[in-house]
Amino acid sequence: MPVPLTFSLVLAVVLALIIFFGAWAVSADTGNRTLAFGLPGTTPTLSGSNLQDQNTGPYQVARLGEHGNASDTWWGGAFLRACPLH
Amino acid sequence: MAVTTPTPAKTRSPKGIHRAWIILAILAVAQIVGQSISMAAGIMVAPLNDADGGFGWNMGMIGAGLAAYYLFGALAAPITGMLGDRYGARPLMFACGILYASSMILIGTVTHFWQFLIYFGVMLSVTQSLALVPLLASVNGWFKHRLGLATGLLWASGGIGAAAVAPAVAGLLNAVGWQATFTYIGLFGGGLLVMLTFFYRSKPADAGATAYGSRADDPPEITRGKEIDRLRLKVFNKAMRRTRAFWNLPTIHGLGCAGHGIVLIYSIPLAIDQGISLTAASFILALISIFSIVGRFMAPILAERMGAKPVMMTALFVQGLTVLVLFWAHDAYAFYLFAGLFGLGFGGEMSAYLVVNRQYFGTGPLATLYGFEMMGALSGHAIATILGGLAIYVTGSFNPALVLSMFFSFSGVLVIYSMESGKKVLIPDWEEALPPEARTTPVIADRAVRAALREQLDSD
Repeated sequence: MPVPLTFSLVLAVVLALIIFFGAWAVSADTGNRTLAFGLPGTTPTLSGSNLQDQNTGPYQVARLGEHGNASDTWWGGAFLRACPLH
Repeated sequence: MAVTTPTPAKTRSPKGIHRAWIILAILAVAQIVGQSISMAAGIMVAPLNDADGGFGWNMGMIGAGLAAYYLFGALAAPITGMLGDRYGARPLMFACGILYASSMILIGTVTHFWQFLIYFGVMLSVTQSLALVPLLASVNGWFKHRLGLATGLLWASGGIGAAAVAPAVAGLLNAVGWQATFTYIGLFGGGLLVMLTFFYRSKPADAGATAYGSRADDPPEITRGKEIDRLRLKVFNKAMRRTRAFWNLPTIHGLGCAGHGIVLIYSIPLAIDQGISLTAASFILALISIFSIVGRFMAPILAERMGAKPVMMTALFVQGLTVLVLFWAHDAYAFYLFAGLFGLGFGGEMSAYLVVNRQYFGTGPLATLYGFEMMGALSGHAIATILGGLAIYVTGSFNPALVLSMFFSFSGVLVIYSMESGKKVLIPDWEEALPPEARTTPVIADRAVRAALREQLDSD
């Protein structure tokens, strides 16, 4: 029996969402915003105003921008190439 | 090939308690130990992230460790399920105890990030997979009747245990420090599992007993040769793979877990962003856990009585709908109201799979299927972490992540709606693909069919 349509559809939508948001994250001008890959207890700062405070709170937060431009990395380039909207 | 031989029927232990309940108690302890792993994961974050502590790792590194944990767990789940079907859950419980002790003790010795990736991301994820997949699925063989109650009790005890383990681990960390805490936990939890192995049996036939709810005229448990068992397992799995349910059930578990995974990760940051203190916000997760126990307990029982489809659809619908509260929540009480309502749906989403598996596929070896369902669940959690984080990062708002959570839950409802009715077994003729010597004899098969019909009438 072939793979059911619902399974294929869900897989395709999830992959499309990851590619879309991944490419958006690489291309967006979010250099002054802390990374929000949160876990219970983390406090992503949405105002983008706490760069100098990122290591002083209860939780340190890594930033994409610390290590150069994300679009220059292999994964950043892959997201941008895969997404037709970015 | 070995000749099939029926074992004599025996319903009760000498002390009057059916052996199945003792097995259930052992599995409940195993669930508490297994679920303590994920609780330990949450508690580890603060000391690992503490800039003044011994590690000082940033959230990106810790997030990578968690992602590895989810990914390896997702990969390991179907494999541990297959091992459970092939070798039985008992040797895997022993392996789980040894692996639990060694990986916890090794986590206590971590000084470098690569060590954390291996001990936590790989070893502990395999340990949890062993505890959750083949051990949980083995309850199927021990309960001919009241599988819903047994499954509900298992999930509820796991939830209660996990809630109790969290403060215990936190207290130990404060009292004796990182290394001693994980050494104690490893030796206690691992030792407990190894000890329980001596009292545990994978299936009733191994103990010379019958499943709970068996009657004198039920077909006897059959002990077959390993060759025949392997062949039957292969043919059964092949028949399952041909059904839509085999693909859709892991998909539903994945969508459900992605839906609640986003909320579990981001509800506390959202509450803090709304001006609620960390202490007050932490009650949100506590309330979700407490109310989820009701859902965990009730969903399998209701699924057995009413059929799994409507119960699973309701649970996922409640999980998705209650997220709406978060869009307008500004005060602590609104978040607490959300936590109570969401917990009911969230708890019910996860616990009815063993019952639905039986309704679709009968009493065959189902640990492999459950492994694939857990693969879907862990993949859902990984997707929730990645997509929720990306959505918040690029938009600067929590709302898109909440929309994604609702989208996943409601998509799960639609997939359940598209599934076959659970009123009849989907693969009643799977044995026809077996050679005659590996089939259940016609007399036993006839009695099995009559027993299944009687069971169906009883539940109606």
